[in-house]
Parts: sequence; structure tokens; C-alpha cells
Amino acid sequence: MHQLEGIFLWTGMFSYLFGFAFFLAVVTFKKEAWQKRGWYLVVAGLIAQTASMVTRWIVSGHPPVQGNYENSLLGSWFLILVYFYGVLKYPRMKTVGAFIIPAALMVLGWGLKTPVEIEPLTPPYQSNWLWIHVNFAWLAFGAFTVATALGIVYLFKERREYPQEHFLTKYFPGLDQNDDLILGFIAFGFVSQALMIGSGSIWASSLWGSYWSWDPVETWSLICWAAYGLILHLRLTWGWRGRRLAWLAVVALPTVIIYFWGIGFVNQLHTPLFR
Amino acid sequence: MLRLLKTFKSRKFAVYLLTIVTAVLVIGSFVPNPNFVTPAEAEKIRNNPVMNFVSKLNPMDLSKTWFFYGLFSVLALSIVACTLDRLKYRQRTPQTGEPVAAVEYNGGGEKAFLTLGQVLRAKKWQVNMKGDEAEVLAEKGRWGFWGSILFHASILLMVLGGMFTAAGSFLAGIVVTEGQTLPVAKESLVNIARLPRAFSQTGLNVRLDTFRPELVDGSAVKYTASMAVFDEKGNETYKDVGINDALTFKGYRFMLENYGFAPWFEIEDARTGGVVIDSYINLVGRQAQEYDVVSLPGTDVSIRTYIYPDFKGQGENISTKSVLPNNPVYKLVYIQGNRLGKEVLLPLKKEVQLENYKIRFKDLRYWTNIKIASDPGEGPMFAGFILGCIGLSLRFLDPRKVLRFEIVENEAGQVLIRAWGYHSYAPDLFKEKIRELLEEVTGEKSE
Repeated sequence: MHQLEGIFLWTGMFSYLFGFAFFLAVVTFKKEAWQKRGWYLVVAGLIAQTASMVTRWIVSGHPPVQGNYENSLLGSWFLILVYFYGVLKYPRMKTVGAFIIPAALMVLGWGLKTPVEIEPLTPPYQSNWLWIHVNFAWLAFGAFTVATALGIVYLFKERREYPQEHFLTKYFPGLDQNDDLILGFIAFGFVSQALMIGSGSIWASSLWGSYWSWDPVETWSLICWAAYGLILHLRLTWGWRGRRLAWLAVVALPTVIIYFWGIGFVNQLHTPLFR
Repeated sequence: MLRLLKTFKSRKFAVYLLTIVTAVLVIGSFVPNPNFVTPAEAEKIRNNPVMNFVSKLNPMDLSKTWFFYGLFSVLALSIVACTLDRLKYRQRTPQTGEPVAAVEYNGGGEKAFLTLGQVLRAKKWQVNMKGDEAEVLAEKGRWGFWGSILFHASILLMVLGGMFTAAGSFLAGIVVTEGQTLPVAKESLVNIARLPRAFSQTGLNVRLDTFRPELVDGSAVKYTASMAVFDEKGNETYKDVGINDALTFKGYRFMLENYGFAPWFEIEDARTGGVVIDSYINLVGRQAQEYDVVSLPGTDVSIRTYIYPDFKGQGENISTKSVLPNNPVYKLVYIQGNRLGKEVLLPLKKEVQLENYKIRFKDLRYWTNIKIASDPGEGPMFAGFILGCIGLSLRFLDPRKVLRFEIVENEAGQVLIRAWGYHSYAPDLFKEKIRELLEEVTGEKSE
């Protein structure tokens, strides 16, 4: 890891950590003013992490898409980016960061435990399809994870009626809006993952000769996509809302975790053969 | 028949099917998969009847069974039926009952009517203003409805593509050494994944001229195979093929899959003077940590080979400077039966004596495993993917929204505008938008 990259990365991580602490203080100690500070720290963290990624990109000569460390860097960045977009559209989503930032930090922390050395981009990754496939994959990851965080918030809120001044009412989206937001993020993730799967198929046909080989990564990407497709059908066709939808958003997350992080431990087609 | 049609039109049935498909894939992904384990583990699975049966549930093998074809066919029929049935739900009107928002308007019913229309049109709503100035209907998102239809129709196209692939695709490999020409025929093929029925040959030949890996800091960054493919009539295409840069000829695609070293060994039995081996041998090992075993035909002797592509050192301290064959040396280990014997180093263009055999290392070339694919299912599959993405994007970027406004004027001349709304998937967030819209019309906060 380049020194400058490391400085930016740790600056970003500490910004996220303190941002999380502020959000936690908002809900624990009712410090409303700290919500803004927490948000500014998250934004600063995102800028710092972006700088870290750009530095690595410049030094390595390729985007950070190879290896566990670069995947965790990109994955956590997209997660915070999707959350950032959500807050821009719906400012009451800010404090949901209390659930999202720890996830991003866990992903980053796990990545830092793996080798961080810069390697040249291996030949299988040298394709224009990489841009579409990888970007939409991480957008989907970010969207599904944010949907899960909103689901958790919903489940906390709907246990009983909270007064207007209660932090759950004041600092988080209303139950009905929360419900719509969960669906919105799931839909966004669903579309992103469709683009990821399709672009991956086209890429696979020119790289491996077959657009679909049923290897574990491909199978689990389909399982994940089908699971969220099922959720969309249950909501849009059968009207499953509220607690049911929130639970579905939470329960479906393991498919995302297995697909993005778990399958890497299995030897499969996605492990480059041409070393 | 009607009952069957009703079942297929049922959204409940479609959801159950989707659940079953997902569950089958989940179970299949956890069973031991003989395609992704070592040969020893695969043998172990095959020798255990229960494991052998369970392992066949893996998606790779299951996808070739009639059960799988049947399940996806039923899913496809369900999608067709639901999609056609859904066409009748084009029209939705906002719910009656309590309005989402209501606001008083200062300026008379006619002005309210006109202002509302202006504001809605400015926001690109399709407005239908009823002549009695009492009701305004506005609509957006017609594309969203058709997007959903398009997406589901595209799944059918992809299922069709899958069927074409299963019926007539070709996917296999061919191992070619530099300077060699081979026919793309059944006898030359390796790692056969899919072959059309009654396949014997394609009428094509592959010639590999050169293979070159390029390294940066010891890591491979590029592989290039200069190769030609030609048919019986002499039509030829020549290309420097790389990873992600295939050669296409007559519907077949030629891609690089793997490579290795092919040393030319001449092995002579020193006792008889007879030549046992005198050819290029495709070996898998590319570095000293990996070895190959060359068996001498008609004997119980074999030779273990380790390559040092860019040899350095001496005695016990030998290694390689890089993976490029700048100074190739083989370490040879004599094996008789199970007994390991003498070992020697053999540089390029040199000769050594190993027990009773003289071995000459005459030349070193590369071999490459070229994957060849031809798939009639790709067209419908990729077309389905593109249409599906367009459909999904339309569905969620342009969701159907309908607004209904009632303008009520009482005897005192006070005008009240009441609003109802329908949003295909975010009704509560939409309520806020309706309130904002009314505020814009009146310049005041709505209830």
C-alpha cells in the first residue's frame, strides 16, 4: 500500500468511526445538533476514502477491483455512496447511518486483514465489461445493505407507538416512508444486480466461451437476485408491507453476504485460471 | 383446461414456483460438487451411493436434467400467463375515501381549475380536465407498466436462449503446441463441456504460430497467441488472440484458456540405442513447485520433471529468476516403480545420462489450451438481457402515478381542492409530493 493511500484510508475510517459515534450519541443522548456533525464526518470520510482509492488507482494503473482488499475498499465505498444518495433525497435518513457505517467499517476491516500489496491487473480482468459488471455489483450490494438497515430501523420503530419527541420518531423516517424506502432500495439493488448478471454473462461468453456455467458465484448471484425478486413480488403483487417487508429485507441479507463475501472461499470458475 | 389456465395466471402460483426454483438452487449450491473438488475427493463422492446421489443436485449437473428443464418450462408458462393477464390492469384510478391532502384556494373555482392544470402540465403530467371544472385527472408513468411487461417477456426470450444452448451448443478445448496445426474434430478435443448430437468435426483447423506471455514485476499482464484458423477451402483468418480478445471464424469463437511448456525430449535407452521418446511433450508445470511425470512406454520407468524457466544458482541453491523461459533448465528425477532414484539438471540444448537413459533437451515451446465455443442460444439470451434491463429500468424509473383532484366551491365562495393519488410502489412518499404540489398551487401549506 502506498503511504499516501494509507493516510487517506485511515483518515476516512476514523471519520466514519467518529461519525458513527455522533449518530449513536444522537439517539442515546438526544443530542440533535450532533446529527449534523456526524453527517459532516461521514461526508469527510467518503471524500478521504475516495482519495485513497484514487491514489491506489494511480499507483497501480488499474481500478481497485482485484483481490479481497480492493473489493472491500470498493464495496464499503459504494455502501456509503448509496447511503449518501439516500440522505440527499430523504434527509431524515441521516441517522440510519448508525446501522450502515458499522457495516462499512466491518467490510473495510476485513479487507485490511488480507494482503494489501498492489498487483498488476491480471489478463482476465482487462476488459471494458469490468466497468459495468463491477460497478453495478457493488451498487446492488450497497442498495441491499441500506434496505436491510432501514428494515432494522422499521422493526425497532413499529414495536409500539412512540411520541413525537422520541428519538425513533424524530431522527428516523416515518414508518410508512420507511416502508417505501425499503422497497425503493430493494428495487434499485434488483435492477443493478440484473445489469451485473447480464453484463457478467456477456463478458463470460467472450472470456470462458459460455455465458453461464452454474459455478458457485454465478449460482449465488442468481439466488440473491431471485430472493429479492420474490420480495418485490410479495410487496407489489400481494401487498406485503410494514413488518413483513422489513423482516424480508433483513432475512435476505445473508444471500448478499454469501454471494459477495462467502463464495470466495470456494474454488470456482471466477478464480482466474490464467495465472 | 380452464382450471389449468387459471392456475398459471395466478400470481400466487408464480411466487410459489419462484420460491421452489430458488430453494432448489440454494440446496444444490451446498451439496458436494464433483466438478469443483480434487479428483480424489470426486472419487470418494462417486463411491458412496448416498453422496453420489446428493451430489447430482448441484446446479451444474442438475441443469442438464429433465426435472430442471421441466421446472423452468413451467416457470416460463407461468410468466407468459401472468404477463398476458396483467395487460388488463393498465388502468388504475386513485382510491376513494379520505383524500391524501386538502387545501383552501383563494381565487375562485375556475382559477383553481386553470392553475392546477398549469402546474401539472409544467411538471410534465398528462392532464385530463373534465369540462365541469370540478375534477382534474393527471397521469404519469405509462412506460413503467410496459416496462414490466417487457421485462417479463424478456425472461421468456432468455429461457428460449437457454433451450437453444442446451440443444445445439459447442464448448470444448484443443491443446496446440507452437508450430502445430490440428483439426477441430472430436479426436482432438479435450475438456468437452457441450457437443451437438452426432458431432464429428467442424471442418476447421487451428494453427498456433507463437505464444507469448508478458510480465510486469514478475506478474503476468498479457498473453498473446498468434494463431490462424482455416477451413477446408483454404479460407483463413489470422489474429493475435489475447484474454478477452477472441478470434471468431464461421460462428466459432477461439479463446485462450491455459498454457504451459512443451519441451522436446529425446530419450534414448543407452543399453539398446533405441529411442523411447522423441517429441514435444505438453507439461503442466510452469514453475519448480509443480512437477509432471513422463512415463516411458513399455517400461515401469517414469521421469519426474521440474522446470526452472530462468535458471539460477548451483548445488542445493537453485531457483528461477522469472517465469519466462530465458534460461530453461529441467530437473529430472528417475522413478522406477515407486522408488525415487537419481536426479539431474538438464539445460536447453544439452544432454544428460539418467540411469540407463540418455536424455536430450532439444527445444522448448509453449502449448496453449484453446477453448472453442459456438452457441446459438447467445443471441436470444443477450437480446433478452438487454430488453430485460430496459424493461426493469422503465418499470422503476417511470412508475405509474395517477392523481385525482376535486375542486369544491361552497355557497360562501370558498374553494377547496382535495387530492387523491396512486403510486405503483411508493404511495407514502408520493403523499408528500402531492402535498408539495398543492402548496405550489395555492402558495399555502396543505392539511
